[in-house]
Amino acid sequence: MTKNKHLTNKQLSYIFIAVMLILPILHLCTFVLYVDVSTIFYSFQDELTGKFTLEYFSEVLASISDTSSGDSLFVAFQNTLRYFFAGVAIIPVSLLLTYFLFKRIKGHNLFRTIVLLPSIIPALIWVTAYKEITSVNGLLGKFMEWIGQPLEYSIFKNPDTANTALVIYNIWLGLAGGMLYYFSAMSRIPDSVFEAALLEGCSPIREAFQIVFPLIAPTIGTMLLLSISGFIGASGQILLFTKGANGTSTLSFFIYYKVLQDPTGGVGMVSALGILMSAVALPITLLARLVINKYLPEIEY
Amino acid sequence: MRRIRKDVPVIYKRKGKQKIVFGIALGFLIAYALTLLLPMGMIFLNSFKDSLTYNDQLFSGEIYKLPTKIIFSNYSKALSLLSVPTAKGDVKLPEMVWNTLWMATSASFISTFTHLAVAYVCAKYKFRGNAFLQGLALLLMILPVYGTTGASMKLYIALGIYNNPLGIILSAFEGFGMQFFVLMGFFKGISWNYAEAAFIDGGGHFTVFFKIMLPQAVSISLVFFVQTWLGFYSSYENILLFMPDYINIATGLYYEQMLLPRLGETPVYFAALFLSAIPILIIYIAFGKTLMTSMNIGGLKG
Repeated sequence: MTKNKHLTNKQLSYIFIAVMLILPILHLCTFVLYVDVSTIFYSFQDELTGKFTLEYFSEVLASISDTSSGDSLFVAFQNTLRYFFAGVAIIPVSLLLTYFLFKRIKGHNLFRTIVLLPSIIPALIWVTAYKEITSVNGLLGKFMEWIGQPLEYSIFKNPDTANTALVIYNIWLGLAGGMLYYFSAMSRIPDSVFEAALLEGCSPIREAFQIVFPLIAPTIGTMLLLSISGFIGASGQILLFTKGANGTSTLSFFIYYKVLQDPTGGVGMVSALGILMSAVALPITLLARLVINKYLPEIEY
Repeated sequence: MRRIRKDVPVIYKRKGKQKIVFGIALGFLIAYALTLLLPMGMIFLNSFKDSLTYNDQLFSGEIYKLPTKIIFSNYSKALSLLSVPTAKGDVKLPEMVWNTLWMATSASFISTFTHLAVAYVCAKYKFRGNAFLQGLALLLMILPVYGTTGASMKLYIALGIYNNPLGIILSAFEGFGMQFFVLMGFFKGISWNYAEAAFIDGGGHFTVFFKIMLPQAVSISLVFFVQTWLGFYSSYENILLFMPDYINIATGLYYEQMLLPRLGETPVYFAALFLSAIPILIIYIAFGKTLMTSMNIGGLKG
C-alpha cells in the first residue's frame, strides 16, 4: 500500500477503525449500557427523594406473591411462562413444517407463501381479522350457537377464555417465526448429502431426523437459546387485543404499558421489576447455553 | 459466500408410509392455510360492504355473508377519513405515509450500514478491544437487561430526542445486534487478497471497504435492509411510546381501530388495513425468495 506523506499504514488503519466504530460505540454506550446501568440505579433510588430504597423491590415482590388479584404481577408472571412454553413448543412444529416445505410437498410454493404471511403482514391486520371471526356475531359465535353453547362475550373479552385464546393465537400465528432461518439453513446443506442418503435407501423421515435436523443444529440451537434468553420478556399482541385486561398481561407488557400510560413516572417500579426479571433469566440462560452448546454443537460442512 | 441452491430436486418417488406422512403434513398445511386465509378473506370481503349493511349484519350475526353490492368507495373513503389528532394537530394520511417512509427508510439504512461497518472492522482488523466488543455484543444479545423502557424514556427526554425525529435517527446507529454476527461471519469468508491487491494499487482502507467489500455484501445487506424496513413499517408500539406526534401508518391504524368502528365505518377501517398491506406485499413478492434463503444464524450462540 502507498504510504501517506505523514501517516503510516498502521495509523491509517486505526483512523479507519475509529471512524467506522465511533458512532456505533457511542450508541452502545448511550442507548444500551447507560440505559442498562441506569435501570439498576433507578430500581434502588427513591423517585422523589433520590435516596437509596428497596421499596420498589418490596412492591414488586408483594405483587408477584399476590395470588388473589387477577391483575397482579403473579398473573403476569404465569402468563409470561405460558408464552415462553408456547414459544418453545412451536419450535419442533415449525421445524417439521419447514422440512416438508423444503422437501417440496405438493403445493409447497403456495404454502410457503401463505405460511409466511403472519411474519410479513402487520399484526394489526391479523388481530382485526381474528377478532372479527371470533366475535359473538362472527363465525365462531355462529358455530358455538349451532352446537348449543352460545358465546356471551368474544373469547378475547371473556376473562375465562381471553388468556388461553391469546396464547393459542400466538402459537398459531407464530408457527412461521423461525421458518426463514430453518429454511435458509436447510438450503445450505450440500446436494451430495441428500444424494448419499438416497443411495443408502434413507426415507424422508429418517433423513429429517438423522441428517437434516442434526446438520442444522447450530441454527436450531441459536433459535432455542434466543427463545430461552428472551423468555422473561415474552409477550404477544396484548396491546391490540386486550391492553392487559382480563388477566392477560405479561411482565414485559406490564412494563411497556406502565411507561406508555405515564412516560415520566413509575420508573423505579418498572426498573425493579426488570432487574428481578433479568436476575431470573441470567442463570436459566447460562445453563441453557451450556446444554445447547453440548448437545447442539457447531457443524462444519 | 456459499452458493445457495434455488430448489431442492425431488430425487425419489414417495411411496407407502412416506405418502401417508406427507399426506398428513399436507392435510395440516391445508388446515393451517385455511385458518389464515379465512379470517383475512372475511375482512377483505367486508371491506367492500357498505357501512349500513355491515352494521345490520353485525347485529343480526351475519357478517360472514358475501357482499350483495361491491362498494369500492370504502377504499377512497379510507384515504380521506384517516386522521389522528395529536398535540401538533391532526395527522392525515399523506403525513402518515411520509412519516412511515422517512422513519423506515432512514432507520433501516443507518442500521444496516452501521452493522456492515462494525462487522467488517471486527472481522478483518486486529485491534485492541476487538475481542471485548464481540464478547460484549454476545453477552448483551443472550443476557439482556429487562425493564429498561422507563430508563430509555428518561434518557430520550433528557437528550431532547423524545417525540423528535432525531430520536429515530440516533437510535438506529446500532451496530452490535444479531446482524453483526451474521455479517461478521460473512466478511470472514471473504478473502483478504482482494484488499491486498487494492492496497498495492494505491487504494486506502475506505476504498477497500466501499469499492471492494460492500459490493460483495449487497445481497445480504439488502435482506437486512428489507427485514428492518418491514419491521419499521409495521411498528406502532415504539412510535406510541417515543414518537407520539409522528404518526406512521401502523400507528394511525392502531388509533383508527378504535375510532372508525365507533363511527360505524368498520368496512372503511378494513379497507384502510388492506391498503396499508399493499407496499408490504409488493416487497414480499420482490424479495420473498431472497429472504427465505439468505438468513444463516447458525453459530451465533458463542
